Parts: sequence; C-alpha cells; structure tokens
Amino acid sequence: MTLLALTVNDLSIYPKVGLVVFFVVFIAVTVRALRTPRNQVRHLASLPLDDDRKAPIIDAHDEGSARA
Amino acid sequence: MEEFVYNDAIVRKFLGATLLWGFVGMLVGLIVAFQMVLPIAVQWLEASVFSGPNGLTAALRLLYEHEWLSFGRLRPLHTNAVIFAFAGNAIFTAVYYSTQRLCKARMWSDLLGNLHFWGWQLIIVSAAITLPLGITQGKEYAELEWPIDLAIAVVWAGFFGTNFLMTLVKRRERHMYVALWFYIATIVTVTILHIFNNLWVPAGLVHLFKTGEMPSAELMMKSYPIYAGVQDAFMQWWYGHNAVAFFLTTPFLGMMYYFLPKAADRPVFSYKLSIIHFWSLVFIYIWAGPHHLHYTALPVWASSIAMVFSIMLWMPSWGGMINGLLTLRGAWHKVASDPVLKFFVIGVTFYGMATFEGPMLSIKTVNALSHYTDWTIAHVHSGTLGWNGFMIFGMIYWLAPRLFQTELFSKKLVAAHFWIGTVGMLLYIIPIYVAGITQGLMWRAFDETGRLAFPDFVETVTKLMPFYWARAIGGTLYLAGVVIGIYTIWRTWKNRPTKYDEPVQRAPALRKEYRDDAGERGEERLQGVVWAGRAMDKFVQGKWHRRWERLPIRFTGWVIVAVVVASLFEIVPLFVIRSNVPSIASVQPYTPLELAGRDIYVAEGCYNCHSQMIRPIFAETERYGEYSKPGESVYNRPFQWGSRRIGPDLAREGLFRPSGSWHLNHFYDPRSVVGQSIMPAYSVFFRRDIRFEEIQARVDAMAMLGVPYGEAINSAPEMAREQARAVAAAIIDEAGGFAEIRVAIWDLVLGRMPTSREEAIEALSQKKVIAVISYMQRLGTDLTRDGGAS
Ligand code: HEC
Repeated sequence: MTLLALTVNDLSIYPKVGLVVFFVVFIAVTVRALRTPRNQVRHLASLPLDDDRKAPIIDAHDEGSARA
Repeated sequence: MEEFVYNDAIVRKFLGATLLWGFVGMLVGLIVAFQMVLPIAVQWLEASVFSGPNGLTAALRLLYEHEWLSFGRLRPLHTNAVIFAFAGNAIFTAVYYSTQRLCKARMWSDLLGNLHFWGWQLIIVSAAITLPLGITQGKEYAELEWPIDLAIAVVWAGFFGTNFLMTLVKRRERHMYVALWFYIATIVTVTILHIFNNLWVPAGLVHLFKTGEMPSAELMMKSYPIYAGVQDAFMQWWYGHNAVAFFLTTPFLGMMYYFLPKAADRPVFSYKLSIIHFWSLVFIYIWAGPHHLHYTALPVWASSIAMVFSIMLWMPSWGGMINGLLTLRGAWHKVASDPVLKFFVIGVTFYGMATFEGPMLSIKTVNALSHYTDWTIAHVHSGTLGWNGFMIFGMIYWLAPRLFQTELFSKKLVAAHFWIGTVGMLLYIIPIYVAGITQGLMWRAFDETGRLAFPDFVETVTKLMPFYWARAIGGTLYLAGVVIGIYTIWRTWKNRPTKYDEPVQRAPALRKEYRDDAGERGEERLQGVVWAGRAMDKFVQGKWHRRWERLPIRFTGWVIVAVVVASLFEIVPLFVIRSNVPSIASVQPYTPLELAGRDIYVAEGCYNCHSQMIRPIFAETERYGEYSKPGESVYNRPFQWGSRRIGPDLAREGLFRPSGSWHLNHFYDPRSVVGQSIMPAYSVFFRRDIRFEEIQARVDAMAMLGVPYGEAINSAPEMAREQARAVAAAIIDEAGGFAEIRVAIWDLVLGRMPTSREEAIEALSQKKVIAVISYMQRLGTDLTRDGGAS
C-alpha cells in the first residue's frame, strides 16, 4: 500500500478511482435492488408489521396486517 | 416451535435514560446559549438598571465566569450529552426494541444488555464530571480523555456490538429487514471511527514508566494524539462528519424504517429504494468529512473529493426522505389525529432539509461564506432538533403505551409538546441562520477605500445579540416541550400495571440449510467457464446479495469493507506522501512553557470560540495576516484549527498582539479591555500555579511521538521557569512597573501588592496566565523568525 501510494505522484488518481469504485457498486446495488422478486419485497417490507402478535408467524406475506 | 419472551425491561431502562439525559444535555445547551448574551446584558444591568454590581449580577456572572461553567468547557458537555447520551440512549432504545421483534428473538444476553446500559450511563457521568474540570482531548465530539475512550470501546463494541450481532445470528426470521442493516452499519462504523480517531500517548503513563513516580490526576488523564497538525485535522473530521453520519443518521434511519411503518400501519413505500438508500449512504458518507476543511491547510484534492461526494449525498438522502414521507401515502388523514405521526413527519421533513443544506454548505464558494459562522450551528440544529429530536419523541410516544402497558397519559400534552417544540425550533434556527449570514457578510465587507468595513472583530459580535436572544428563547421553548414530554411519560409510567404482562412468543427456529431456489441444490461445480457464467448469472439475478442478508456476519464484513476502502483511499495518500505537508525550516517545537500554555488552551476549550486557521481568502488575510501553511501545524497535537469564530482567529496572534500586558488585562477581564466582548474572564489563570515539574512528562510524551525536543528532554522544568520569569518581567516592565498592574490582579496572584519588582516577577511567573500568554505570543510567529518562510 505504502509503495503504491508513494509511486503515484498524481494524486487526482484517488478521486477518480474512488468515483469509479463508487459507481460500479452503486449500479450493482441498483440492479440488484430492482431485480428483487416482488413477493420477496412484499415479505421484507411487511416484516416490521407482523412482530407484536402472540400467534406464531410462519409466513408473513400471506397474512393480513398486523395488530396495532 | 420455540417459545420466547422479549426483553422489554432493558428497553424501558434505555427509554428512561434518554429522557433524563435529553433534559440535562439540552439544559446545558440553554446555559451556553445564555452565555452568549449574558456578559453584555449584565454589563448593561450594572450600568443602567442598578448602580453597579449587586447580588443578582454576581449570580449571573457566575453562570458564565465560573471555571466549571465557562463556555469552552461547557459547550463540549452540551454536544457530548445530546449526541452520546440523549441520542445514544434513544438509539439503544430503538435497537433493543426493534431488533428483538425483527429477529423474533430475545436479545442474546440479558447480562450484556445490563452491562451495556450501566456501562454507558457510567461513561456519561464521567463525561459530565471530567469535561467541566477541563479534562479533554480538545477535538470536537471526541473530547473525552483516554480512559473514557477505552471504556467506550468496550461498552460499545464489546457489550452492545456482541449482544446485537449474536441476536442476529440466533434470530428466527430468516430475512434481515433494512432497519437491521442500518444498525449494523452504525455499530461497525462507529467502532472504527472511534478507535482510529482516538489513538494517543498518555503523558501520565509515559511519566510513570520513565520515573516510576505516580503522576498527578491531571497529568494521568492527559494524552497527546499520535497524529499532528494536518493529519490530526483530517482524522478528526473524517471522524466528526461520520459521527454525524453513523450516529445521528444511520441509526435514525433504522428507526424511521421500523417505527414509521408501525405507526402508520403500512409497509414502507419502497423497499427497493431503501436498499439503494442504504448502500449509497454507507459508501458516500465516508468520503465527505474533509468538506469541514475547505480552504484550510488540507491539500486541495482531499477537500475537492469531499465536495463531490457531499453533493452526491443529496441523492440517497432525499431518496430516504421521500421513502419515509410516501410511506404515509393514503394515511395523511391519520397524521392530523395521531401525534406520533406528526412528530415523524416533521422529523423526516427536517432530515430532508438538513441533507439538502449539507451538500450546499460543502460547495466551496458557499463554504467560504458559511464556515466559522453560526450558519453551521443553524444547520446542525435543524438536523438535531428537527430530525433527531422529533424522531426520538415520536418513537417514545409510540413506545410508551406498549412498554408501560397502559394508555398514554394525555394526548393533549403530547400535542402541546409538538407545537411548542416546533415553534421553539423555528425560533432557534431562523435567527441563527440570519446571525450566521450576517456574521459572514460582515467579516468580508470592505468599504469604498478598500479597507475592511468592520476591522474590529467585536463589532461583528455585538451585531448578533438580538439573534442570540431569539435563539435563547427558542431553545427555552424547545426544552419546555421536552419537559412536557418527560412529564407525560412519567405520568404514563405511573399508571403501569403492578406486574408487566410478558406475552410468550412462538416461532420456529431457523433451519441450518436454506436455499432460495431448489434448482441450485446439489449442483456440482463445473469447470471454469461454466462457473464464471453462473457467477455472472447469479450476480445479474441479485442472489449474491440475498445471501448476505441471511448471513449477518458476512454482511457486517461487507459494510466494513465499504467503510475501510473508502477511508483508506483518502487517508493513505495523506499519510504517506510527504509533499502533502511541506516542512518549513523555521518551525520549531514549542518551548516547554509554551507547550504547557498550549495544553491550558486545549483544556479550557478556547477552540470552541477561536479558530487558528487563516484561509487564503482576501478578507481573511486582510484581517488576520498571512494565511496558514500546513507546515506550521506539524507540532500541534491536537490540532486546534477550530470550526467556529465566536472570537477572532488566533493563528497569528503573536504578531497581531505581541503585548503581554494587554493579554494579562484581557484574561483578567476582557470587558475592561474590549468593551463589548463576550469572552469569559479567566481569573483562574491568576490563582493557579503552573506545575513546572510535570512539564517534563509533557515534553517526554511529545518527544516519544517524534518531536525533536533536544535539550528540553532533560531540563524542561528549568527552561520553563526561566522563560516564565522572562515573560513576567517583560509584562511588568511593559506596564511601567508592578504598581501599574491593577490591585485586583495582585490580589489573585499574591493576596496583596508585591513589595518589590523581584517579588512581583517571582509571584507572577508561577501563574498559569504566564504560560498561556507565552503561547499567545508564540502563535503564528514561526514564519517570520530567522530562517523564515519557504
Ligand atoms: C465564549 C467564547 C470565547 C471563549 C471561550 C474564549 N474567547 Fe477569546 N475572545 C472571544 C471574543 C468574542 C473575542 C473578541 C473580543 C475581545 O477581544 O475580547 C475574544 C478575543 C480574544 C483575544 C484577543 C484577540 C485580539 O488580539 O484581538 C485573545 C488573545 C483570546 N480571545 C484568547 C482566548 C483564550 C486563550 C481563550 C481560552 C482560555 C479564549 N480566548 C476563550 C471569545 C471567546
């Protein structure tokens, strides 16, 4: 790491690489997020709503809304 | 089916602590707000209302001049208390409540939970004791000294982190809801930030090992950071900004993603958006820190990247805000009647406002105006009072009936809290915006002849008094709202059942083996090409990520990678490339006496009001002199560039105001020298002696960190004594003899008038004020000394 940094004289390389890394990750995350199957998204989104019930919860997304 | 019971007792404890520390922290904030207006008000009372000082004005004076209450010591107590005690306990309340529900599991260990709770409260109490005593590292939001730092690391990562992660590992719900991701990011990033910004050498330990003697308590608590100057500044704002990100933002987003849907009784608007929100925040925030250092001695490339990333932050932040607000789609009618939702709506709206303003303030040209002014304070308070404060109280009002298993005591009182709080907040923020912009414009105003329109700094201070009054009143209202809230919760708690109902929950344990997709099972590894194709296919389908979600440890690993990679990209070049900090031949280490003086400057928290960083901006070099060079800070541990100018910049004070007797009078009573000053008087400097013997340990610790101290390594106390006598003698001569120095000063120093010049010098040279003055006289003089600037 030290060697690498010492030999890189042009420091503007850092922001450039940083931006590229960021955009790659950003695009990957976005693609992944948009491709999540609908029923799974629905299940995930409803997780906070099903917790307070005393009854066992097996599969959230085919049950109704939660007890308040 | 497994049966289990949630641990709500621990949640109730954290909730109570949130309220207690919220009150304390905001009360201290109110006191420091009044300290901005009281000095002039008391002056006016004594001159125009009463004939001179009386009991009332003496009491008011105590409020801003008592050693333990002076602004420089109390302001860090305010910031630490509201951030780490109020917001901190609120975060724990949210995490302990929601994690159990989202994981369908009791918190892993009751013991760790209790250790976490009591450990954290102990840390807060030690902060409340040490900060007013002037025990501080002198870095914003990282003021607590090294033993407390160690305790924080143990309690945060050891107790809290372990308990949380183990709960995730033992969870019964396979999928990890997005709130949990935000909590993970919070825990790991705060750990990293805390550790790397708090690497130090304790002076007392150095002393103990070198001499075998036990140091005094004051010395024992003192440490010097391993970073100096530019690097210290950089690490500090990498920490400071990310503390905002990972202490005041990510856990609160977790809170929003959990409690807002619960209160609205509908799922979050877009779960997909929340994923993008999460990863972009984690990735971008880390880069943004150096925007606190625009136009400083930090290399331009570092602050430029920070600006670009800060502007990019606007996107995910607003994504999050929109996601929060749209969760209420179709439920807006509920907002009108539900006080909890009202708090959340204002909270999320202020999140949007603050995260719009933040990127704007990071733009260099805007920053040139806003930096060091009260604009920053307005920005911070729209975030903390609006976003953090209102999210916390929304959550508390939602939780109280559930945790105390009874009706909320009074909805009317909650509504009163909401309205008083909102009005108070606006009354705080708006005048302080105006104050900040006024200040910024006055500092850079020139008259027709091309000279500074307000060359006297204090003119730009007195102008702000009306705004400071409005802020103090706004703050009072906001706190009044909080008091109503505390009363409401207390009454609710009093109505609790004699024994809490602890419903038994049931859920199946997770099976060890789980595959999303049956087709994947049993497949063999094929040769390279096929494998690569499959990997590609998996990536495109996004399955890689869903796996991590199920594996909290690996997920945590990825968050660490994101944070560390981004950090290294910034930190490594700054630390390894020498050209970042060109050395200047004439910059020498501080003399032992100056070092002692500097340590007093740090301990008193002068940096809360004074910067030491002149930016290369015309208005600034006109006012303060040659702009600051990176090489000038190489011996500054900690750096003291400051972030705010309630008083003028002091980077070139030694050139600007070399007169020791001026400083003597000014420290004794600033208003006797500068009529409208709001700087506190420092009579303690005249009462307390310099501990000459301990200066050796300070020099040794610095030498250990590589400061070339030469002969001072063996004779620091003698050198300091000698210089102290010289400074004292010069002050007395400058004044025209000791009899010309006011009696009140001699009363403090000696208890009477001295009888000879020799006695006067001897007595004065013992006092702390001499060390501080020697430091003031040294400031900024390096460049013009022989062998000068390069
Ligand atoms: C509450 C904020 C505040 C604190 C805390 C504070 N100051 Fe000041 N200081 C001011 C203000 C305002 C002025 C400008 C008015 C004046 O000269 O008194 C000032 C002026 C000064 C000046 C004179 C600058 C000049 O040459 O005109 C010096 C020196 C100074 N402060 C040193 C210190 C030191 C050292 C400390 C810590 C022990 C300290 N100040 C703490 C607000 C503060």
